[in-house]
Formats: sequence, structure tokens, C-alpha cells
Amino acid sequence: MDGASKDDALEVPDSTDWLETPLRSLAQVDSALRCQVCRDFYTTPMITSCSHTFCSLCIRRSLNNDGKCPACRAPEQAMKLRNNNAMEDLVDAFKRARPDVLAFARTPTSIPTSSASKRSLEEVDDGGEDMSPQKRRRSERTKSSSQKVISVADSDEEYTLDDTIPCPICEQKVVLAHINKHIDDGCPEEPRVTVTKSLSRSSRSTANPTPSTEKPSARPERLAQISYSMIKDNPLRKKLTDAGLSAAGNRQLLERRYTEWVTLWNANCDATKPKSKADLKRELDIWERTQGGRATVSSATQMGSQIRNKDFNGKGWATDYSNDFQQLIANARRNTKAPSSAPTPSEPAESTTPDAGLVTDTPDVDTVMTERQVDAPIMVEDTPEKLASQTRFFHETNSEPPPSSQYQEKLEALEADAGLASNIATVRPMQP
Amino acid sequence: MAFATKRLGKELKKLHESLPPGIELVSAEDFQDWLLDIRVLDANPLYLNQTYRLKFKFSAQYPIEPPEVVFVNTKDRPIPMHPHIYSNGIICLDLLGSQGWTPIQNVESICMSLQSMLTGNSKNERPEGDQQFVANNRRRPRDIDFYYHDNTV
Ligand SMILES: [Zn+2]
Ligand SMILES: [Zn+2]
Ligand SMILES: [Zn+2]
Repeated sequence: MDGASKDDALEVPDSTDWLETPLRSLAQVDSALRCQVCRDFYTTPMITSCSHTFCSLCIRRSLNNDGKCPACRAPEQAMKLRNNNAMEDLVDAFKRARPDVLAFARTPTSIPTSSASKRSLEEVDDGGEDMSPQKRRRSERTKSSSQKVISVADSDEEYTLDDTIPCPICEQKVVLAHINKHIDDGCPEEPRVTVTKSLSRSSRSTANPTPSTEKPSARPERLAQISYSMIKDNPLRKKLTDAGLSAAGNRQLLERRYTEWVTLWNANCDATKPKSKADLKRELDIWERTQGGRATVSSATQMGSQIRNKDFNGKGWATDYSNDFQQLIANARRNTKAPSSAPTPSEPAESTTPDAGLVTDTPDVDTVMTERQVDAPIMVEDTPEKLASQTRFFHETNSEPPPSSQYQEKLEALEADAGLASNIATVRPMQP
Repeated sequence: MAFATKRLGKELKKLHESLPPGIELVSAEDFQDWLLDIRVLDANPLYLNQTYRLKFKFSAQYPIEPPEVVFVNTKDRPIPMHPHIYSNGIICLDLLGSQGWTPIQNVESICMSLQSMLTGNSKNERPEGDQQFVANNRRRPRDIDFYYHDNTV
């Protein structure tokens, strides 16, 4: 992955960003434009035959794993995936608009402090949409009483973001909050620093998004996933070397590496603007370091194999990313200064007391969880009958609604909150 | 940045911001092990005034692969009594096995499923064969082949 996407992750822009602003309803828009697998805005969105949409890479990886749609578990094949171009255009447009709209929404003048200012803010909220004559009239009426707020919503030029700085590299004016991303992205043209323009005028939103019908002339061809049971070691190694990839490692690693390569390659074939082969190789290199031959964490569960590395180092993976992690934490904390905005009308009084102690006792269960070579599989049950009688299942618990109506209310309250609805839905019993 | 790290970062941000009632983030010092506390929200006498601690273990394949989730026993955090929860904290829940897992599940939805699993339970008992299982099992939870089709209830 390139610097830009890394930077994206460190900022952790999220649909909840909107919840602490007056534009709370945008959280649902934001959330609807994100893939449920990676939680990022769709990258090359593909629609399944069950009409669910995921990033090309996300759905292809999921299908490699279990051949089912992550949302509804319907069986699906990679070859049935189709581009969801409308979604791609939407995501592109929203991503372009998002930083400015968010900066606008976070502008201190927009924070309601009294019921009076709250009322005018609701109207500003309306003003963010197309200005119907009626709304405009309403805004103008308010103008006299609340000049500051109205000038934000109604004027083209009066309101400009103060917190822009000249980029040290290209000298464009860049919103301070975006400067790191701007530099990491290689100084793309900064289209605007006036927030109001993009909000109150329709000129930008009606501009045609780049049509995704224009295909580049030399579109790469998709690769077929191979049936590994049909191919011997040497032909498989040759396939890898022919593709310019490493043929090192045991058989299992070779298969996983080739699968990942085909996945990256085919997802790239879906893309409106395919990356270069060199870029794909860099992505495979990241895979190699995190999940492949150079990964320090055992991925032995893959394919049920028990192959373990002798010099297994469980800490390695975490250490590699500890810097990323620290930054993520810092960012997360910085973004949590606003009070929790989740609607909790029916919060029971006694249940809100947070446990102050963050002591994490050493879990006893660690003795059970220790990575241990399983020499002889230890069977708990002897016979299939006994197995069946001892096994316990969740769906019968889950198939009836929780008896607590209080809990149900919570679910509904949460469902109304953006970004959670999809998660809640998955708690419900799944159709077989 | 790796797939799992990126996604976990997003989940963590959200966990820091807001959590459903009865769920609390205890620690998340890296992208491998997280601890969360859950409580049952209704007046189920089996779990009244109790808090339970969950340990999540993520692989680099998360969320394509499920995390490993177990209850952990500490001084004031017992293992909840439930016919699908072994006394060593291992949970038999199809959602957490490779068959029942889907990548759109997440830490929060797992916690809510477990809350709901406890809420709906009225049996003050361990799974059959609990003692034997706890004494003999050396496998990690996700390597255990639980059967999820029920013919016992
Ligand atoms: Zn995705
Ligand atoms: Zn589906
Ligand atoms: Zn620049």
C-alpha cells in the first residue's frame, strides 16, 4: 500500500466524525459509502449476485476464504462480480467534498451553545442542501438575529477558513488539517479553501463526475485461480517465477502467495484506473511481510495446517506496527474530546458506572491458549453421537429475541445511530 | 499498512468514542490482544451485578478470519455460567468459528452477540463434558471443531 492509504488509516476518518458536529445525519451517508469488510470508503466497488457491494479486493479475499457473501452468506463466485460504477462515482464525489464539509461542520461558530443558536443552526443545516426559496426566506429572516451563522450558510465569499497554511513544498494554500495528507499525496491541486462555495452553490455538485465508462486501452486480463490439487510443485513454482514472484517457501506458502497475487491482480483489473504491476508487487510485498513468508505471526490456521515456525515470534507483528498503533491511539484520543453522542435515553442509572480499574490481570486461560505444537490431536469426544450431544449451539439462543425489552430498545436506539445499523443486523439470526 | 491493522484501527477509534451499553474497552495496547468487559443488561439472575472479561486475539487475516475470543477469569471477573461456555472460558458460538464468521462482524457485534447469548440463557450449567474438556484440551479455540447444529435442546 502506498503512503496515501497509510496516511488515511492513521487519520482514521470514520463515519462517527460527523456525530460530534451539527451535521450528524451525514454519518449515515458516510457509513453507506464504506465497505463493511475494511470499513474504508469503497475502493473499486463490486456488486455481488446477491446485490451486496464490497471493495474488489475485500470481496475477492473473502471469497477465497469461504466462497460466501460476507453480508448475507449467499454462495458467490468471483467471476460473477460486477463493477458498481454508480457507487464508485458517489464515493469519489463524497471523498472530494468530505474534508471541506467536515471542516465547515467543525467550525466553532457552528457549535450550538443555547437553544436559540441551536434553532438557527438547524436552519443552517438545511442551508447545506439546495436552497429552496422557502428555506432561503427562512434563512434570510434569521439573518438579522444571528448574522454570524447565516453568513456561513448563505454567502459565497464572506466566510473563509482561517486555518489554511501555505504548503512548504508547492506553496498552495492548504487547510491545516489536511497538510500531512496533502504532502503525502504528492501535492495534488488544492481545489478550494472557501468552504461556503462548495456548500451553498450547486456548481460543484452538478459537475459531472469522471465517467467510469472510459476504459483504458490496455486493460490487463484477469488471471484464473488455479486448482492447486491439480498442479505439482514445479509447475506452480514456474507460474510464480513467470509472474516475476518469489518461488521460495513450502508448498502451502507457494499456494497462498499465488492466490494472493491472483487476487491483487484481478482486483486491479476491476479498477477504473489500474495500478502498475510494480505497485501490485509492492502490495504483495506487504502481504509477504504481514501474512506470508516473512510474517512473524503464525498463520498456521490457514487451511487447517499445523505448520509452525520454530522461531515463532508472536510479538513481531505487533512490534512492526507499534508506531502505527501509537499514532492511531493518539488520533483516536484526540478525536474523542467531544462528549459521547450516542443516544442512550433508556440508559439504566446503575449500569453507567464505568469500571475505573484498567488493571488487566493475567488471564488464567492463557495456559489453555498457549501456542503449542499439537502432537497428538486430543479428542474431547469419542463418537459422533457423543459429539452431537455435547455440542452447543448459538443459533437457538439467538433465534429468539432477547427477553429483555430494555435491550431491544437499545438496539433500536443504536440502529438509528449511523454506522451501527449494519452491525446490529448481523447480530440477528442468519438465514440458513 | 496491513489489512488487519487498518481495520482494527477503525474499530478501535469507534470503541474509544462510543460503545453500546454494558460493553467497555479495558485495554488495547496493540493489534493482537484486546480486553473488553461486558455486562448483561437485563435482570437475568444468573448474571446479575456481574462483569465478565473477554479476551480477543486477532490474526493478520482478520477480519477475513475470525478473532479468537474467550472469557478470562480474574479476581473479580468470573467465567459466566452458560451451557455453551466451558469453565476455562472457551466459548462455543458459531459466530466465532470459521463456518459462522463473516468479515462484516466486528469486536462490537461479537460483544453484543455474547451479551444476548447470556441474556437469553436460563440454564445454570456448563456444557456437557466440561471437566473432561477443560482437563484435556490443548487446542486453541478456533482449532476446535464444535458442531453447531443442535439436537440437544
Ligand atoms: Zn473494503
Ligand atoms: Zn450478499
Ligand atoms: Zn504541497
